Amino acid sequence: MKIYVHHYYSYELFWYFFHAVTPLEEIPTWFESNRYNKNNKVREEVSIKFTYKNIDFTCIFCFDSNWNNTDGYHIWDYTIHHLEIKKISDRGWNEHIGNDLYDTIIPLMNKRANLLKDKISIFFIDWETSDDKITPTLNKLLNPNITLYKDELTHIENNQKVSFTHILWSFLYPNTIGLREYYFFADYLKYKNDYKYKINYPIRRLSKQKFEVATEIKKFNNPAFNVTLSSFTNYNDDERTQKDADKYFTSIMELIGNENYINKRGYNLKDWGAEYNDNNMKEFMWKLLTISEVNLLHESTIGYGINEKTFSHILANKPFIPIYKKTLNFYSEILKTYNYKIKPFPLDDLGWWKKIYYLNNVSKDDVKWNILMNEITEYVSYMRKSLFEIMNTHNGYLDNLLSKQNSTKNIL
Amino acid sequence: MKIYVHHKYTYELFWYFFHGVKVDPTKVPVVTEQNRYQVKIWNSNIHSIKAKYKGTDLDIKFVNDRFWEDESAHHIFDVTINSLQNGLSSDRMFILPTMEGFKNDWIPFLNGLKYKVRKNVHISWISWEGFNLDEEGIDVSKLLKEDINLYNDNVTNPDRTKYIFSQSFMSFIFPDTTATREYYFFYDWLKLKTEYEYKLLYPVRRVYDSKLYIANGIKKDLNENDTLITYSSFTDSNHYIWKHQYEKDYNEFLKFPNLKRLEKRGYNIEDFGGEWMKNNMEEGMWKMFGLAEVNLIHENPMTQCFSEKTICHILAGKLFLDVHYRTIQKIHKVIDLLGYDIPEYPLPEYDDITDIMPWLRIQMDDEVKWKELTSKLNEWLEYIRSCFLETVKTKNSLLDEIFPKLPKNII
Repeated sequence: MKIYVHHYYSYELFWYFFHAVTPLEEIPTWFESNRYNKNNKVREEVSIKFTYKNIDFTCIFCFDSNWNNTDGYHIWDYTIHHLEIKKISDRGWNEHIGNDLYDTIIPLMNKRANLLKDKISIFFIDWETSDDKITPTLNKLLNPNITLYKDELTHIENNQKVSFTHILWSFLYPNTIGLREYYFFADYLKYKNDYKYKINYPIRRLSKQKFEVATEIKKFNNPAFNVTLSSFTNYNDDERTQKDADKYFTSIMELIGNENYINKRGYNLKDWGAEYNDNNMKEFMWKLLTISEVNLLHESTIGYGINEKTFSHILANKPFIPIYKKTLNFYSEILKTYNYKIKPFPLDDLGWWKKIYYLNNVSKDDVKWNILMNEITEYVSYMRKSLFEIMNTHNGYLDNLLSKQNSTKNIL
Repeated sequence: MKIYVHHKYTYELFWYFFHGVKVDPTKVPVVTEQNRYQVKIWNSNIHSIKAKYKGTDLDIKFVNDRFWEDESAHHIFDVTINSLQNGLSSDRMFILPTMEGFKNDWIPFLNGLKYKVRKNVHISWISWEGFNLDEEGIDVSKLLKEDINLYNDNVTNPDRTKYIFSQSFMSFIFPDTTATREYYFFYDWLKLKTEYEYKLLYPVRRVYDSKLYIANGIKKDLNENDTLITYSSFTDSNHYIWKHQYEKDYNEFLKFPNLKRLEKRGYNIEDFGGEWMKNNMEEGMWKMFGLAEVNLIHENPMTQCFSEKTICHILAGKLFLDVHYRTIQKIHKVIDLLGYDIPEYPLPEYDDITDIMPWLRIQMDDEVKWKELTSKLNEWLEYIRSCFLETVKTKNSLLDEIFPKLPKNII
């Protein structure tokens, strides 16, 4: 089976699209075009043979050519395209994402689908699961022959699919935000056992909600329960965040003290630069995994998707507690899909206020605290192990392709 | 003092050139209209930053290719940064495209500047390779007019080129093209690891004759239970240009008992990719620093500069010995140049490490002696690390070279 990948080749992209396969030849890295500059696009057409579930495949990375070939399947990833044209540098939120859908991308892909029919798949994985504009636009305007792979468990209509394995791998390859490092960091994080706090609630961008949570935590006056605030929140150039920051900054600083103000713009080696996802993730790994035994995470995906907050903790095997009730549902869905046992998260039936009060109480009792920590640690380790087993043995896109092939055969 | 940096702007470049100055880090711009949605953009607009160094006000402007004719400013240009900004390379290492780009595009231009400008032009070429700028085939110091100031990362130079320590050191950090900066933060975590399977690791990336010689010495004199030799899968890949030249050595090498092959091209997340410096440094940190208490590194004894091998060990606080004592002497020489006392080194002097392997065996066989040796080695390393880090926090070698050139009435 042939698969045309309409991107410039890199070994990272091979793994992103074709994880879990058995390559039948070496996965190349060096070419004339990128030998001296790893950031150069590989302008050679690259074919690699592999097997998956005993079926032979050939993938052909051919950037913008071969769109007229009807002898194989075609895949194209919206974010990878924007990375290639240097509009963006990672998958996270970006002003450019979505702007070109209506006038450029959708008409172009619909035109291609006229020839290729159902042999064309588009990946739209943007780590922004709460958008209310892009998904309906795609649902409405994209040719229903095109299979759209998205990263949210809402509005799944027409010929849309969710490939859990591609969503997970999108955080790692291409490694644009340094998340792959968290996986290796786990080998060293396990040695740390002298944390200053039991729980930390790390705030990067101050909002009303986060301010309220922080205020409640500080009311406990519990030395084991801490709040940190990133200097980003006081970053005057960003209007989007400054409104809330202005309103709550002085009050929160009075609550948490200067020692809990995480200064991103340190001197020389300690300068973590601007608010890009990769700078943030690197800073978080080296500085914010060290503060407490467990991090209380304010991920707002509420179970319909995931972002780098919880997944980075799973990769590093770092205990965490999501503040919202259903954040971990997405992971449970993955386990369910691949017939893995679902492990309940110890505090998942508690709403966020109850959770905070519970944590305050339990952190004062070492016996209860150790029991809770063991349960959370077990959960995170189980999730890490299971997800990597799934990611190394399954490929959502190829599974869908094979099932489509089988159903076609049945019909024939 | 007006300083023009003839490169596109990034905050990393500011620190590379102007570490050691007094500046509020939040006044070092990071987000601009050009790079707001794309972190990897080099910013071509003019960026001005005010700073102070040794009591003098600095008016720093990143101007890219503008204002070369200004006679009242100092002009800074870095050969490798130019290469990076023009996409000729992705890190400091590849000499050929960088050199050709500089020779063809820049030397004629720089030589054509007026004398009053030329004497204030400061060209640095920090390559981590150790070649001299007057070397045959390089010829940069011969081709560039005498009055243009030249700097590099060689501790000693046979020609007019001057050594700039602080930029040489910072070149490993910013721009962070090789992930060497991560070793600095890794330091806090590495020290948490106290149990190692081996006492000594000799990590070999490419097998060739001198590596085989050292491995033979290890086999002959050291206890194989305490010692591990690793070699990278790169050595038998088709990308290794000397693969066939050293095939015999490689086959000999494979006979060592305490040998472990490190597969660079693992499956999925374990794939460290191609032989680019960044990939190698990431692999080195995550896969090789946790194997033994002490790494025996193999620097080229003939070069006068530091490579990423030595620097990453210093940054991470990872205990290391070098195959050649000359590396230790080089470190001590720099410590002396920086004005610090030279620390006591806990190993006896040697030419190559095989000279003292019987002595090393005695230390390794006796737990008390080994603990004492590693403790002293740690003390030595911590001292070197703190001298280097303190220097780049408080001093700036390039500015120290530029300052005496100012007329007295300006100072």
